[in-house]
Amino acid sequence: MNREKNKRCHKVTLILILLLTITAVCAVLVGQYTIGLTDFCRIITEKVRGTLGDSMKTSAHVIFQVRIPRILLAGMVGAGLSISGSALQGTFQNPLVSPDLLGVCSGAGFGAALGILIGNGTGLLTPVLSLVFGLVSVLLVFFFAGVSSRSETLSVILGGIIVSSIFTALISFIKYVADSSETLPAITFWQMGSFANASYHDIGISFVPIAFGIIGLLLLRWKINLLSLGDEDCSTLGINPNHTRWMVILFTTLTTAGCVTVSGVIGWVGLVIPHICRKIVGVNHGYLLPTSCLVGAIFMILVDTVARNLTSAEIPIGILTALIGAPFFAAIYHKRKKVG
Amino acid sequence: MILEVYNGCFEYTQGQPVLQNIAFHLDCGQIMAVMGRNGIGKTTLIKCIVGILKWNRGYSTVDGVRSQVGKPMKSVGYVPQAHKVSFSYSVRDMVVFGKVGHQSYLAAPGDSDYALADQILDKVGIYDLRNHSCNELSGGQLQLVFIARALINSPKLLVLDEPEAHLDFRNQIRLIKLIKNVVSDNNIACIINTHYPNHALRIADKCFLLGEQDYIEGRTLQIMTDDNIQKYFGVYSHAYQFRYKDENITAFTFLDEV
Repeated sequence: MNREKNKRCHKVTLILILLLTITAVCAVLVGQYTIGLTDFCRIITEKVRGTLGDSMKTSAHVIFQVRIPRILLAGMVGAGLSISGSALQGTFQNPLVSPDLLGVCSGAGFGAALGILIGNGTGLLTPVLSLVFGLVSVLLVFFFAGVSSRSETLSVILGGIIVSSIFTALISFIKYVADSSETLPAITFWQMGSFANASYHDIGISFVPIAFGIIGLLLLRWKINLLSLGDEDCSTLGINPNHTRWMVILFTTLTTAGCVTVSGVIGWVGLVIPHICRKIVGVNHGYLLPTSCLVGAIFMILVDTVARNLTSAEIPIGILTALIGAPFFAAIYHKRKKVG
Repeated sequence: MILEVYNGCFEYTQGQPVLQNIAFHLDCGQIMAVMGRNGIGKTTLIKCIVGILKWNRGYSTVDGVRSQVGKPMKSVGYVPQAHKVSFSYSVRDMVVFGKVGHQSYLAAPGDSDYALADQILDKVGIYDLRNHSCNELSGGQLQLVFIARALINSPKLLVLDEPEAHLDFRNQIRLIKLIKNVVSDNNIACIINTHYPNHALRIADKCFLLGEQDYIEGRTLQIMTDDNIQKYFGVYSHAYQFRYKDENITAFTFLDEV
């Protein structure tokens, strides 16, 4: 029976990888500058052979310098946010938790705003500050949770709310003092989330924290099942709940901060994708986490492709994910209410 | 000797000791019933033994290893009271989770773990429920799942916190007999918190009565007397004896408050 379940999960994984590839290739082809499948194949083979002619130069530039980095980034961010959501929902035994629970997004947002204010959004300053403040926010949560004598889970969540509101206030302050013709719009657009300026540069910055976080979470995926049973069960089943929970928090923070740094705030993905994946592979986090990664990547690439093709001017992806995610979530909630 | 508690003391707030100078030991194949009034510290006692809580003074050892908070022992199988599970894991998954905590980070439970889970589910009599979700089960069924989960690591000491709470008579008898069989089949030791003296008399070799200032501990028949029930529970009782299937059975009827 487990063999069947395992087989089923392998099958699902294979199908998802196939879907991911198809989605990615389609996303490369569609856009303002349409590229045919035959041209695409020719460019790829010529590029591999090193015989790329001048006639294909524009197409090649679009593919390699614009679309591929953008798709890679969208996939990475989608996978990162989704697996973080799944892991945190399990760890905090609450299916309504999202990666933003611990204030990472507000922290990273503040870092980015600061970077845009003092460095005009150029160079490495914005992403680095964003990553740093994303991590600082969780250190602050750690500090608040450490000094509190209340139950650990509750104080971690409370710490998240406190840190989040402090950074939100600081973002408002930066917006208030920012130059309203250039800096203010830049900060506002950054907060809406977008892959429009994706480059290999961004991938370079975010790859290490996202990859490190995702691998860490994948290693912890079975232990998260135990965390979701509550601290008492968990500690008598052989793992230290406090240590394991902090490891999950660390890895999700790295992942989320890495994502927010390059994409801005993209809401709802980390909340909704885990719910979709539970419908596909069930609640066992051993299978849920890898599936979340794949489905998250597919979803993000799809939505990003829609975002850049729906109208002639690009729509910030954060707006689209919220517009799709919120009603979807309402539907799930409605169904739960009926059942429970 | 599997379990030894030496001079164990515990208090939640300073100056208000819950457990004072507890000392006893338990051998293979023995069952000990822990009894006492509500809120007297029965659950606290077993939480200290399994390492969920930390002894303020003294210590306890299981199979020669001291219990420590944050250092879970594979030799202890702990069965919590049946509680709601936040995600609807299947029964087999829940039983296999017993294995997960003691595996390395790189290992995932495999087919052999699931086969073992099936075997144990069969032993506790809920093989048919193996693909059900834990949230669809009744309290008694969930209790059996937790027992199976505790047994998957072949523990040397089984600890159960009021396992027969919320069960009807028939299921209580089934559960009590199951515990007795598991303990004698595997030659392990067992501590069970219970509110039912008649259950203790039926299966326990030793009894532990916990009072506000003191405790007594010893062979079940010597401990479970009308006098002790009056002293530790504040209830007048009457014990009577009869034979059933070549077994001497003692049972209590409770008459009135002191």
